[in-house]
Amino acid sequence: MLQSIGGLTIAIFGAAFAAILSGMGSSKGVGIVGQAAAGVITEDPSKFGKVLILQILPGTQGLYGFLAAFLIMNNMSPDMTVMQGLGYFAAGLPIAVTGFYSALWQARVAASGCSVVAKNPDQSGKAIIFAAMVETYAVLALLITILLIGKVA
Amino acid sequence: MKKRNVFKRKRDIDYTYAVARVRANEHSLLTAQDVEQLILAEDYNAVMRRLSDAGWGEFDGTTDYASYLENYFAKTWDLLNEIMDDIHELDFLLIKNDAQNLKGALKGIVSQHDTEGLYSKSTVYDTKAIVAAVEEREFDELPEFMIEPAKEAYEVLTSTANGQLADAIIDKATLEEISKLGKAAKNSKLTERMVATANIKAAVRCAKTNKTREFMERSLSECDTLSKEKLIETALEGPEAVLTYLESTNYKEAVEKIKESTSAFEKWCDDILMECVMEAKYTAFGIAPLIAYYIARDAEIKTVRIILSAKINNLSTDLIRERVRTLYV
Repeated sequence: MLQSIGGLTIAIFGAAFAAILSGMGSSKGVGIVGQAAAGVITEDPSKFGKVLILQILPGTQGLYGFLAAFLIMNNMSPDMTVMQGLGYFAAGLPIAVTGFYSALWQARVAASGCSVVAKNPDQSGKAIIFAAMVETYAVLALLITILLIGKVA
Repeated sequence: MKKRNVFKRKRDIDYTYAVARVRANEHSLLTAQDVEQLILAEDYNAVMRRLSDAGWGEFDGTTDYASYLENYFAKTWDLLNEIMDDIHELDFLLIKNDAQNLKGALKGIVSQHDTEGLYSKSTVYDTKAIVAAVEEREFDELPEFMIEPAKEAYEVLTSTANGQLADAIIDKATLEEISKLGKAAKNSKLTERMVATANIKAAVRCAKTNKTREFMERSLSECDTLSKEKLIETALEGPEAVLTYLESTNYKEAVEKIKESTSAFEKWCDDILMECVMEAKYTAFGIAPLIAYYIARDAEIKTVRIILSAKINNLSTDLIRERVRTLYV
């Protein structure tokens, strides 16, 4: 059955998954933190800069997914074998799945960080560090995706 | 009156915006240091000036601090009303005000006094509709939990003029409604404490005033952590028996406070509610921080009321300190 689908189509699915799942996670994550940030600046607009950094953080996973999809697309060719297509599909999975979950969890930490900014603005650096810790795993997943794409190519 | 579908389950992230607003507002809650400064303030006017400086509203030299504080507290409810999709999730905190209005309306029609202006503004149900239903004796138009107790209380008031029993009947129904709402909203720990402390207060009062079993049956409500039957049995024996029973329950700390003084016990009742919501300080999602904020403002208002009343009556600072509530921040 896979033969009839073809390697190129499977690779396209891999690129699409990487972009879609991490993008879903990021959009939801940025949305959650956005609500918390809006709550904070309704009461004190001067905290916009601090909460904006927190809101941006869960957005990076979407960017990583986009990058992974772009790399897979760059390596695609019409005469790809099914095994190569499966290889690219598998290579896209780390950032797709990890990107999705890490964006959601990072959003929760960042939204909690907005509460820190609201109550103790001078401690906002610590809140950003807590949220940034979650980023580690998205970066590791992106790294593995890039290395796997390199191997398949 | 139409019954609302209050408890449609929500996810904790649905409260993200509201929690952030509340966190930002927690800044303006009085701290222990602020309260200490109020206690040490020279007199009533000095306290009011400090409150005014802290943004509690302009002080115009009035001694009517009750409406001053009510206006300030109304801002808390306005904020919660603005930031929550469904304010009725907090009905269990407010429904006691509706019960208070029902009591006022019933006494108003029986005594034929004008009670306009005496009703609480922060309510779950429309006060005008409640008053109109009572005035027309159309008790079936009242919110469901009020219908039977209102009929019963009206009958008691018209046949025996026993205002105390009429109030107790409505209080009991209100506590049962609070308990029901709390369980439905998964806030049963808090509402259980509200109901249990009210039952303890009622049992001790009944024991001290030698009330009959029938009175107690009609005034104490069922709750999970205290046996209504045992409270009644011990209250019939006297206050000491009630305290002995409480020693064997989760509320043994109450015994010492009751022995100490009524104000110490009242403070303990408020403090255990505060203790219940204290962990919400470290919660970033869900409804808990919103409930905690309401309880925190309530405790703050009670503390300020105690200080103002003490300043008017020239009480010592030590006496005031004993009475101030545990604060959220």
